[in-house]
Amino acid sequence: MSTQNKIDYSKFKCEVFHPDGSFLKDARFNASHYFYCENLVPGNLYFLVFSYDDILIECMQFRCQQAGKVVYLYPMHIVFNNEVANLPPRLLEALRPKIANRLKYDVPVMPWAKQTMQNYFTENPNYMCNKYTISKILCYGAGLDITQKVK
Amino acid sequence: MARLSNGFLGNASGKIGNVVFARWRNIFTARQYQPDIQDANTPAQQTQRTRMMALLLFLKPLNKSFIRLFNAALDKNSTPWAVAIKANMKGVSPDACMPMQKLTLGNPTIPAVKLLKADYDPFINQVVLNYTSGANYPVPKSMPLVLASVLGKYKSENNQHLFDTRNSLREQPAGFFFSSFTEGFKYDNYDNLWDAGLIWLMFFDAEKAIGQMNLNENLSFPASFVPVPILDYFNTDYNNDAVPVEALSWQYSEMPGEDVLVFTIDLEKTTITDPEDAAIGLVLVSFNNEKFEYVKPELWQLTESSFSVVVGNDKALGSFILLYGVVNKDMEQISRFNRLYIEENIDGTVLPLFQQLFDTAYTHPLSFVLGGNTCGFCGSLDELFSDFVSFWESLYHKDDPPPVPPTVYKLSLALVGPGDVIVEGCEYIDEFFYYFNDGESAQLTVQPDEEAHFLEWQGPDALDITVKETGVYYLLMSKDRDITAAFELDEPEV
Repeated sequence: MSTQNKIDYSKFKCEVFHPDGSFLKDARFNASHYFYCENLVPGNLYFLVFSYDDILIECMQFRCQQAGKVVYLYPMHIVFNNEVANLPPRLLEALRPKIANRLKYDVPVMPWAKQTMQNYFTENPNYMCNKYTISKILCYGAGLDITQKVK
Repeated sequence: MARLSNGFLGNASGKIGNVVFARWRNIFTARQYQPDIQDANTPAQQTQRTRMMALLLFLKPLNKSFIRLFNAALDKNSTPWAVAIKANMKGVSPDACMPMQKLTLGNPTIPAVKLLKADYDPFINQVVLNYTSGANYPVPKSMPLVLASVLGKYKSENNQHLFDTRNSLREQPAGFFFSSFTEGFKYDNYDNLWDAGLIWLMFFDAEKAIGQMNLNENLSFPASFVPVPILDYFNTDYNNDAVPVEALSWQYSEMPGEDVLVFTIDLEKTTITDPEDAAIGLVLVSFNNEKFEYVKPELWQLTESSFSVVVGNDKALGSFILLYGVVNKDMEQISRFNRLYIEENIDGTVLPLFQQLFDTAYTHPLSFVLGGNTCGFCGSLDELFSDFVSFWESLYHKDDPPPVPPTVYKLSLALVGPGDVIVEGCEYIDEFFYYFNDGESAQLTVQPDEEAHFLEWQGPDALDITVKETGVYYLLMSKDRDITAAFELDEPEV
């Protein structure tokens, strides 16, 4: 029998920020561990910050072009969106306590984030953030309709 | 007919003698001129023509959507439509019937998925498919990307083939397909109830994420299904609307220990002429306290102008969807099914439908079509962050206290004048600070520029700096520190 402690899902948060670093809203969670956020504006850029007990896990930059759509964010959606960017400075500053906690616990980079970085840096070898360091927090693109990449 | 690969007469087009030259999609052809065609119209030819006509009628509604999507990349010397005709002629029976499950599109190479469930939910107008892809499929083990194409076919009327082509290509969770539906609760809309359907799956892996994806690579054969309504007796066979939604009103009634929904009917807004020969069969689903629950079906004789449904002792704190149909004394259906969303709870709080469906996990939120010029996102923590969950749970065991991170202090270092300082001993750095574990010492090596010298340490923690040797200093990191290294130019020699 496993003696490991279970994670407390109520400590997960998904916060939505504007590019200027101002907080917009929290996403909703349900008992099936799903998150959901509505009433965003198509074409606008948002930053999604996923954290656990104030420990930063990963960030995404989200832009959906299609009115009415609820974009399903899952590992391969991020990989196929194939975007890597730096956090805006003001948002980075707002997230500093969460980032410090991430560094304290040495939280691993998620596999889909690694795969996205690998793909993106292969395609953009001169991109400034390809020198990934432990303290550098990147965000990964989401929201693109990847069915448009299918021919 | 001959095919002229290089066009030996140049770009000839037209008739020379009894030979006709033509060009079609970069193919040069020559054929014998046929001035008089004798149409024998034999029984065999008639059968063939009837089969062809049946096939054309079947495929025509799919030409601009599914046929173009699946067949466009198959043959550059032909058209998607021609490929579809060629591939599907064999599926037409001698009596000119084209069954949907015989439809062939694209170049599938993977066996069809096995469908475990094909449900239609009339409460929200949604088809849910659940399938298993089996053990021998090239589905990536981690991070699968599954695109689904679902073609729905409505009941044929007057030999017209009516298809639902809205789901030509959709991102879906592995193992499921959820058709989309809108929040605007138009009660006469059951357009996701198909008579039959086909589902194709496309599987992709992460390493091919750069660039375009080929739809026909890792394409499964279609699996056919027939959606089954989750209410046995639900149907869309009746068009007449004897009791429209506008004829019904509702309110909560306060009874000790029980929540009661009271429905009232305005018979003037109905086409019911004999209330003694009409009754409403109603089913409710409640969304409350992060759970959904179907309330026991009831029958409301329309001789009564109002009808009470006991919904339990706390369900009225949530919201409801009502689905109802009208029957006569013999329990024969006489009117269509309608539905109504009761968005207010007993306290008067408005509970938006999509939030309720999400909070109660009634369906997958990717199936929501949001109103207005808005969009949103959804996802699963378990899909995105399972590695974080494993990492966190591996940090400590049941009997241990929760993990305590090491105390880390930050060093803020500013420079004044021409020089630099090398900092050693830190755990990590970022754009602003050096971070040290509690009790570690920062080793500070001053490096003045040429014709400059180190002047002094400044700042609130300057007094705690100790000298190790010339140009090398120590600072014990027992708290956050803030220091400034001051340099100045040497005085010029006189």
